[in-house]
Amino acid sequence: MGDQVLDAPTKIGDVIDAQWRGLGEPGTWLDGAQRVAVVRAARSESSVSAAAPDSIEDVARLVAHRAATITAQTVDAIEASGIDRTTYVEIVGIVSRVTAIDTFERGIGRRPRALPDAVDGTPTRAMLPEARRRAGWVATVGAIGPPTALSSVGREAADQEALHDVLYLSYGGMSDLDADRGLHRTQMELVAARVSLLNDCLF
Amino acid sequence: MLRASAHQTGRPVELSAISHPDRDSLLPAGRELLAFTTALIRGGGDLSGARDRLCESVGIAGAVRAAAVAGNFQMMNRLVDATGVPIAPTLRAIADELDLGGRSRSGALTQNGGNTSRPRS
Repeated sequence: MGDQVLDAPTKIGDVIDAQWRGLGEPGTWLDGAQRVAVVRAARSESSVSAAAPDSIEDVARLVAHRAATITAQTVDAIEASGIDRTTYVEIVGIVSRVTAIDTFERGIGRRPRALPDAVDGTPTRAMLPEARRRAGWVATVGAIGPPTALSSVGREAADQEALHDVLYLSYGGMSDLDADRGLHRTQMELVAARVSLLNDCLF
Repeated sequence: MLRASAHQTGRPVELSAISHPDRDSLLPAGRELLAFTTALIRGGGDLSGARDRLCESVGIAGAVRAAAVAGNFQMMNRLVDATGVPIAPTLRAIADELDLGGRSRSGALTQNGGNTSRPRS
């Protein structure tokens, strides 16, 4: 097969295409240009210390390349630098999805996508009054867990869930331990566990 | 979830293969899945060759799904680590089973005395 690119199912491709375009659009707290800067930084190989990230680009690099080193103190320091926690959540959402998309496409043999085009416009600044700090380091709607970790920024939570659905399983479908989506659930979980181990993530 | 899925569906699985991919996971195409995943996440290796061998084992649809799942967990690992999603105490036993006892990860494998590491549920 050599360097043949594998075909992605239409459903995955459509979701990724739409989300990639959306990365350049005004978000909740970041404008289009800032969101593209986050994407660029997430893909950068530059080293970053968890000690004092004080720009959205620094935060993006930290989440992309050293997420396992982030602590509550790190998030406190980020907030003290002037990046509030809901903006931080938006950055985490963007970086996480960019990493997912780049990893998937590299896995099927595609070259990295060009950066999305930055679209003019104003962020929505949509606050969710029901989001509040519980356990964890950011506010959430309901108890914090993987499905709700980004819930203080509704758009990021929705996009993350949509990507989770097409790449892996829907949150509702996770109870199906006998699922088969090209691989059996056990095979999917083997891949998931290996990725998590390589990322030093115990969750 | 791997152990739960294997148990529920009556499939044998050797969990230590997750941290020691030279071992047999006992799952179909386990070696090829682990080799592909490692090459994809770590980089620097023969990803193309690993992809080809995976396709031979599980077909193109299976290989695409492996890439998709790997991508998803790249996303999930970052978002839980960056937001401080609590780690359940039961994961300690799983970490021991996977031979992760030597890892030091901001309190994830140790008791936290109200420190700034990930809170335990």
